[in-house]
Amino acid sequence: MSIRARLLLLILFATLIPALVGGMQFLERRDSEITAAQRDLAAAAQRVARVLRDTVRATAQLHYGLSRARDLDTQDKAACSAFLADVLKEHPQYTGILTITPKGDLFCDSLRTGRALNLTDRQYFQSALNSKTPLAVEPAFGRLTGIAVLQVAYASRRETGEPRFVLLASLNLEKYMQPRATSLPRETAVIALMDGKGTILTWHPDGEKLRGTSIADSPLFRFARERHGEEVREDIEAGGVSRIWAASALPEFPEAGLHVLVGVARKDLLASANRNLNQGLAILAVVSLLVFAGGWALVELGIRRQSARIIAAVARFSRGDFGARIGQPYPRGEIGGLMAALDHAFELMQAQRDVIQQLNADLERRVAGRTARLEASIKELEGFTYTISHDLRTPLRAIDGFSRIMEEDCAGKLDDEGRRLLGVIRANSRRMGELIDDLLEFSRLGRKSLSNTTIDMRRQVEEVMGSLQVPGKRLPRLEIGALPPASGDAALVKLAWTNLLGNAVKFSSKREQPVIEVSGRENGGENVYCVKDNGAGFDMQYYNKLFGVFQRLHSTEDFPGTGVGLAIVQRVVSLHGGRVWAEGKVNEGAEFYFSLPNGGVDGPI
Amino acid sequence: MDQFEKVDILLVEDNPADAELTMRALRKGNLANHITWLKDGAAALDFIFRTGEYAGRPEQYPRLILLDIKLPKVDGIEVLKRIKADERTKVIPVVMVTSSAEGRDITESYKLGVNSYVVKPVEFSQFSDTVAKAGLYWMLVNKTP
Repeated sequence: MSIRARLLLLILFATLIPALVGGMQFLERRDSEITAAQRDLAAAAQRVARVLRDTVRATAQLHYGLSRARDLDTQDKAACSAFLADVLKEHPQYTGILTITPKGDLFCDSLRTGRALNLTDRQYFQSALNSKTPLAVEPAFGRLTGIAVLQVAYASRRETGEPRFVLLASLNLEKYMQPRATSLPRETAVIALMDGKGTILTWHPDGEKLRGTSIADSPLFRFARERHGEEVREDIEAGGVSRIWAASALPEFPEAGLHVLVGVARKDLLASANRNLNQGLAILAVVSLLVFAGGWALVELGIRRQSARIIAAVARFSRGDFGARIGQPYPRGEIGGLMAALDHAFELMQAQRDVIQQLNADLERRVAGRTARLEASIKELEGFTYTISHDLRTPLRAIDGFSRIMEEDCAGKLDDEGRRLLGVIRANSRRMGELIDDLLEFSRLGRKSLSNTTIDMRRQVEEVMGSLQVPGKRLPRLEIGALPPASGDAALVKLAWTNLLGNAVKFSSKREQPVIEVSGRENGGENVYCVKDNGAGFDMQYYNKLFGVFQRLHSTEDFPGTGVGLAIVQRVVSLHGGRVWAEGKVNEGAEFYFSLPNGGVDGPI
Repeated sequence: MDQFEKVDILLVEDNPADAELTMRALRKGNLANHITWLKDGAAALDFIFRTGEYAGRPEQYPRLILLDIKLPKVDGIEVLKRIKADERTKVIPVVMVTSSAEGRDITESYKLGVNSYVVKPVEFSQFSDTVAKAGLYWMLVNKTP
């Protein structure tokens, strides 16, 4: 995970958690705002109920006052009707005020229609006359207008308790409730009044059609009847509008059974809370974004960009650009410290590298010098061998040639001893020629570059044995065991086989049944090969002379040779990184071993 | 007739013993009619190109040159180079006869266009054989028209 991603995550967490807490707070506030709005709704319902109750009481007081007025204590129907008409003018909230005789006949009438009406069967009349309290309240619909009124009746009695008349004022509920509806603060507010049986008395606004209908069976009416107080109810109306209702009642007038319902559209009730919530969340989002951006800027400039500088410099440095530096400016704090320390380290490393380069250059110069000197000495050596090859052979050729000429031209002048002596001279000059040739071959080995191939050792042994075959001479019996293939310079390895097998043939030639055994095996990282014969063998006492140049353990008369063969074998094997060793017993035979590393030579030497 | 007038074989060899042995070998192979023996490279060049001591020699080139590599004054390789660089002499067969079997000499000689390279064996009979065969072969190849 990159530093950028880690830091981004960190800042995200650092911003997100306060944002979440803030968001929760806003949500809680919204809830409490909604609760408050609901409480307001319930309070509004209660207020409407209270005001209505006060109005009823005020009506009762009006009745009480009127019952004592002399204008009503008269038999003059017209006069008292005029008086009540005047009173009505003062109290336009009533549709009419009238008095009813104890027999139930309409007497004074503020409307002064002069109609004759018996109201005995009216419940308010009976209730006012017969109950303990003189006041009776009953909702009703106007017979002509259809408008809901609240009949407030009051029984006036003489001191004896005999009823004088019943006063009735009809409160125009339609008119009365209308301003209540407009006084509610919310646009979608609905205020409804219903009687105890669930008949809608008023419904504002726009509730003329609902007037007189019954909602007795609806859950809303059940709620209104049973739950008074702060509780609210949510109803989804036809049309999908969800409305929240609060209810209140006038328990002081149980016979009227009045219920007040106040409802507002849910979205209206929640609007303010939601608006506040949205505002709050918007502010929170902006603040969170600012915090995030600020944090990000700090991290980007203070950490990410600085680490990128460090990484870039380190990468350049590790690619071999030793001049790479992070460079100024170093920010304050740990990162700046790290940058300064790294630059210092780079400085030191560059200095050390310069020193190393200097040393390397010196070393190379010295190596070049030594190589030149070495090449010069190799050249010298080559010149030396060349000289040997050329100059030493020339006199030999003369010795041999002139001895021969003497043999041919002066044969008659020589006796047998003279001829023998000439033979000795010729034999020795030939031998010296062989010595020189072998020495040259041996010294050439040291200058050879080695190739590296896989060598079929069995085939080499067979080829070498084939080449050792001399017509008329019997070769020893050859037993070839397992011979694992070797890696190395095929020509040189063949030279080693030639010398080893040649020796074995030579030194076993005096046996009646000469046997040569050739075998090999893998031993760790190298192959070990062995040539064993049952020939003359050698004395282990002289082992240290065995592989020396011109070292011989047998006389030339017994076994001809120059003593270079085993030295050549040793040089060939050591050029390949292997070893040579031998075991022998006089007159019983010898075993010669050589080892070659499995991987062959490293390359040209 | 001048002694240099008809030269079949030019032998350039500083060692008198080797020269004598070589000439004996050539003689044995019946190639000894006109052998000129010179002891160093400078003399050989003078002889071939008729300069210095041999300025007065008529223009006639040997049919075969036997050249030792190690020679005083001018060595055999240089003499070979001069012979093979000259239009008049480059067709003359040159056989390097030397006691050295050094690789660099052989390579150098063949690069310069030598016709044959003979390593003198130590043993006289072999030496005699080799020189006689080489001489005969090249004399036969380079017949005078």
